[in-house]
This record gives sequence, structure tokens and C-alpha cells, in this order.
Amino acid sequence: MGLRSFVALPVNKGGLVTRLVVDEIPETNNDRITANLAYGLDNKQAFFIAVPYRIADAKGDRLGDVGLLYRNLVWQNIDSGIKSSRFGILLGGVAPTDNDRDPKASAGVVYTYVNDKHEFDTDALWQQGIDDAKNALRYDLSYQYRLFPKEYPEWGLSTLVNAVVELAGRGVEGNTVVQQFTGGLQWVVTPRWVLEGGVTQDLNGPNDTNYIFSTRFHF
Amino acid sequence: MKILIIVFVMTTLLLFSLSVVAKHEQTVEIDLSGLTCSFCVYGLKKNLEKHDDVEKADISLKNNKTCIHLKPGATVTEEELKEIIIDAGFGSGESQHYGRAEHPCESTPC
Repeated sequence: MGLRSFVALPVNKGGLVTRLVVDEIPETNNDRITANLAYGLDNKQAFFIAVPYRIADAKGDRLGDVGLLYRNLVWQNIDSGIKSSRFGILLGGVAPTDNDRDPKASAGVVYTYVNDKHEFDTDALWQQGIDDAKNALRYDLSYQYRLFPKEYPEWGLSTLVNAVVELAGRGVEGNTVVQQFTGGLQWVVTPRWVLEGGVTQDLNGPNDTNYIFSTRFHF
Repeated sequence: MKILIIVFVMTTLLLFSLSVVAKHEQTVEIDLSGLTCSFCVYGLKKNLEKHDDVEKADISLKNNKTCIHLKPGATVTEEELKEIIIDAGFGSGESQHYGRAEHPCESTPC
């Protein structure tokens, strides 16, 4: 799983994952925290919730719209010991937290390929505006390389460190899709606790440099 | 005839005691597939250890195996354990049964 997208997250049956993401955007003073929650219904189905909250700018609404997604892994290849690939569909919507905004319906796809030290994730999501809400598109392509350990221990798990590079795009109807490049690190402190951090550079936007930090817990 | 009855009873008792011993403290080793991340290991371990008959499940991401240590008197079958693995989203393959004392997993830090 990359740094900017949550939908490629592996979630086990009955597993609950919480994640807090801090996006620091120095140039626009528009920092925000996003709370993510994922729950695994069974080995193929999972639910994702995202609640953004603006922390830096006191003007206007602080609470963002709530994103809800259902993921169903419709195809997977898990026959190999060190390789796996999974493809899923995403369905859901965006529920406004203010009467002035309208909801959106979401549909997309997610694909994950893992081969020992290498992991590749991609997802794309279309958000269809309802009433006055504008359509939106987002995508993420991420690659992770396991830096440490070089080899897994015989039994059990050690701490892990992954390098992550990610290309993401965010666009709203009528505006240019902003392409962003992110580089960072994931530190799997324990199999239940992960710390992540990275730097994001807009490739075609106002050249903002953003910072992203997150922590997640697997229950 | 009397000797035959004694032999029959002794054989039955011996087989019964062996089956009781066999049900105590056994370990099942199952090959895994599709297990490619530490969260997968954590989730599978949690699901296996939820079963009342499972004392502990050790998982090797390196060798793609799980050693499932069963409680004394456990009646869970190999098929039921494989079902848990499949339910958790992974593949299961060949399996082997060991008495606790003879299993190599015990000699490594699990």
C-alpha cells in the first residue's frame, strides 16, 4: 500500500485498521488530518471510511465530506509462495457533512501485485456528482521496495522498512487534474503498528511541496 | 479362546492409549501460499488462534509455512484448519503432522 491511498490495504477477515494521516501543506496553510477506518468483512470484502478535518485554517468548514467505499476482490492469484496479485472493484460514495454540498457516487478499481521485496499498487476512482456536486477523478500508482530486512526470519516477524514512490492524480470537473509525485518511507514497527512519512511535489500544479505523515494500527 | 479374548482386550487398550497420546500436543504444519506481507501473517495468526483447539500458530513468511500447535485433546481436523486459512484469504497446500517433541519448529525461536 502506498502513502496516499488507503484502498489497497490488506485487511483480514474480521480485521480492523485505523489510520491517521496528517497532510501538511505549508504554502496554502491548509493542513488537514484524515481519519481512516477499514474493516474486513471476509477474505474478499472490506469497507473503508475516510473523514478529513482541516486543522490549519480557521475559516470556513473544518470537517470535510465523509468518503465511504466497499471493496470486493473479484480476482486473485495466490498460488505462489512469494508472489500474489489481487484485483478488486470499489463502490461507494461521498456523504456531505454540510447542507450546502451534495453527495457523490464512487466507482473504481484496485490492483495489487507483490513479489517478495517488490509491491506495486494501483487504483482509480471516479466520483459522479449528484445534483450540484462536480464529478471528480483520482488515481494512484505506487511502488514499494522492502529495504529491511533483506530476508525474513525463519519464524515470526521482524520490523520492516519499505521505500515508497507514488504518482497520484486528483481532479475535479472543470479543473486540471493535478499530478503529484510522492517519495517516502514506511516503517512497520510491529505487525500491528506502522509509521509512514513522505514528501509530495505537485508536478503540474502550483508546485507546492507537501508533507505527509501517518500512523496506522491493525487490530 | 480365553487367550484370544485377553489378546483382543490388550490390543484394544493399547490402540486406545495410543490414540489418546496422539490427540495430545500435536502440531500440524501446513504449506501456505499468497502470504506476502506482515499484516497477512498477523491476520492469519489471529484467525488460527481464535479456534478453541489451537494453542499457538507460528508462521514463517520466509518458508511459507505455518506450525499450528494444538491443545491437548484437540479434535480439530486438518480440513478445518485449512478452511480457516482459505477463509483468511490465503492458499493452503501439503500438510504434515508431528508430535510436539519431534517437531523442528520447537527448536527455533517462534
